[in-house]
Amino acid sequence: MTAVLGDFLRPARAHITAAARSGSDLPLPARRAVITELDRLVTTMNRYLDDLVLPADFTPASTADTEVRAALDGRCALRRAAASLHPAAAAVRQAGVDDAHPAAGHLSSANSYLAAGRDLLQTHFTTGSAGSTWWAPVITSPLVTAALRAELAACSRQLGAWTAQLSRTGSLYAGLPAAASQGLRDASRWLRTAANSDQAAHWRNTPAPARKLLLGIPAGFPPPRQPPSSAEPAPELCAGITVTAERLRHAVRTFAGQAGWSPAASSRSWRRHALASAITGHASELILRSLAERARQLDLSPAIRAQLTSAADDLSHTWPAFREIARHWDTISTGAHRGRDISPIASELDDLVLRTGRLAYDNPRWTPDRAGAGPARDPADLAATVSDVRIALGAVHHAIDAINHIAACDTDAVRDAISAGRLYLPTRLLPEHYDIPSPYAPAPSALAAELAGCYETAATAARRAAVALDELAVTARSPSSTLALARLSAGSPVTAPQPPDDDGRQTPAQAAPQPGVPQPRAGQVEDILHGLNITEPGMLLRAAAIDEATHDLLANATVSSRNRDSINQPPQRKPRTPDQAPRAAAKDVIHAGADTRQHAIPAGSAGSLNGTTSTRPVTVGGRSSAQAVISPRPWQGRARGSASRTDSALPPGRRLGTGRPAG
Amino acid sequence: MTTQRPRPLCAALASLPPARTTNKKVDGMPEISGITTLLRDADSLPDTLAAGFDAFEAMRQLARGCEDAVPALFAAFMTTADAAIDGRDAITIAPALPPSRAATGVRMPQASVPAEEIAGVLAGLGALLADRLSQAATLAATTQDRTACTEAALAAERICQLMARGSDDSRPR
Repeated sequence: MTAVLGDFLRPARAHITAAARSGSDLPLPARRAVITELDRLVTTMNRYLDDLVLPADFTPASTADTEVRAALDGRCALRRAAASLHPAAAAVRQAGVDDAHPAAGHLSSANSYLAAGRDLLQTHFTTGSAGSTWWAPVITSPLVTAALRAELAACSRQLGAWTAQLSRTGSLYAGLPAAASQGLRDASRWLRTAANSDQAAHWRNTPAPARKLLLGIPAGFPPPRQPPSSAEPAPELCAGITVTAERLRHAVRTFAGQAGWSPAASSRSWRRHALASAITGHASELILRSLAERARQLDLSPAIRAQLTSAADDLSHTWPAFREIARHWDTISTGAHRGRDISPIASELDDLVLRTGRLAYDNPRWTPDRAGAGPARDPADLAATVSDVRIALGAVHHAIDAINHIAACDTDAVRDAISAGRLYLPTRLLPEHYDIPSPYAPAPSALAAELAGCYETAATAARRAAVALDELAVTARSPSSTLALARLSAGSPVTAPQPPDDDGRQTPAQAAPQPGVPQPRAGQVEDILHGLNITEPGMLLRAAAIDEATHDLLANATVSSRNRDSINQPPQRKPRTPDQAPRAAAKDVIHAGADTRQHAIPAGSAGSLNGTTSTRPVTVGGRSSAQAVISPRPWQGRARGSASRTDSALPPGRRLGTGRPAG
Repeated sequence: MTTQRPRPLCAALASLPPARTTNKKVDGMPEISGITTLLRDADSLPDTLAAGFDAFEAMRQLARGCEDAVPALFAAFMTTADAAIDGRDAITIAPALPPSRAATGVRMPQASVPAEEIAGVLAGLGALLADRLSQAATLAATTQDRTACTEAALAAERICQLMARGSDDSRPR
């Protein structure tokens, strides 16, 4: 079977739990190894959150939505935890470490599992012609994002508590370098902050099925084909149908990307798809009616029985729709196509037809021919127990879901073929008065439109049947209920993971600093708040975010300034001092563009940018005031002079990080 | 394996024995009998291809008409119709196919005719068609004609397999 994310997240959690159980009384070499492994582990956790594409920290969207705010806070806290652990790990790197200690081993394993899980998620996001998998919008859905954050928050909680113990004993008695102890203490604080920031926002909003969906995300490549054997029992047939359906979904994705040029994108393939979909739907209806009867025999809940019958009724409208498509392909074709090119979907569908037929009929060697015909399988033979009912239902659910994907794909492809004028009729089937000296004649537009209408009808019917089976799978607690959750959640993407990277490589979100570029000192706002004895985690987080944004903006501005200098200035020009770069950046920012919206600049920042202390609103062309206020030392000398001034004390339009225009 | 020397087409086709099941008359299906006769009497590649085209088209229509007759045979008749289209499409692009129009559509048999019986007729016709087209393929002068005959013969063979009743061998002897 295909690996799922749960195969990695569950062991990762177990290893973290096991590591935390090691307690704080660790030998010094083991403690050093733990710090090193913690550094790697937290970095990996941080990468999960870095994959989330969230609004900028200071846009209105980042503060209006509590979920987004919590995600930003959690990400920021985890970044800080990772940043705290880096110097700690560096401080112990030269000393001897005990990698063999179980605590270090557990952390190392947890890191490996988490990294592999992230790789699994990334397999769903490709830039090739096939595009991302159908799981991609599920992974980026709010539901799964919240579940993933909750999972990471749980890890952070465990690690935060444990590192607190480690730092308490380590700083005084364990002989760790001061930097290591300090880093461990800071990391512990940020890990607990990360856990709490996420918990507060979506503890109530993350339903239990979301975790099930998260853990059920499969790898983004098709499972190996399992050729049907001659005498598979019902459970094996169901497992085979599930595998084939998953392979079909991948085949659909691949074929959809080739529909414009592949020789297999022809009437021959589309006809086969319709044929197999009709036969599979026909057999699936039979299976559902048998299951309804079996549910009655097993005295399952009336709701399940009713839904089984209802789903079978839906299917009774689905397969005739596909048969109607097949009948239209009787005369219409894409013309003379030599060779035996057939789509990968059609090849996979052969397996699906065989298995659903063998599950529906009382013949383990059933084939779609007259010799293989026989009576329907006895309901008790189809599903002996309630669990078997669920499994058989799951198989039908997967089969119809795959057909639903095929219908949607073919509807688009055939519509394109019609637009391109690729549909023909055999001339021999036309009336005598048509004098066309070639084997094929263009299909009348009315006939092509009729075919397109058939596809729309079939796609709608398949979708309706799939949704009916979604509801049934959830009600009956079928193993395929993940499909239902996935379809429900794949609505509004909020994240877009980035390509996987190796340890130590910078992600696009974390641009590597240019060598030789003066780096402004980050952490000033946070230091100021500490100086003001502010301990509220939310404020500290936002201060840290401001510092990070300061760092990023100034790094970019400095590079931009240097590039401009290299183009415009003669080589003999006097080198710029580091504090000139921010001023140049300020020029970039403040220049009015076409957009003349009014934004308020906080007093300190305006002063730092313009060399004055003016608080009047200035025009910022197309930029948020939050971006405009960033400077290396915007609050120096002012905040200390106004110790009582906190974020909330600032007047509207001047609050840190709100980015709101002046009223 | 012995290799046969090429024979004149008409002689080769005429020497084929009649198919067993296609000899019987089925009420309501005189067109099938007529197509069978045409196929058997074809004495040139164009005539064989033309008769084959009509035969595939007739089989398609018959199979479509029987899809709902017996639920257990739904898949068999659906797949048979699909195979008939494959065969017809293969013949359509054969250069030797004369440019005349196809025969008129097949009149569907009476409802009293069992689907099993129709399946038997289709199996027999498929078997005859496969033999005639295979023979024609060996005599075709061009690669395109040979390919068309071979692919169509495969489709006819498939129909024969789909519609045969297990041990009942519908092949002409």
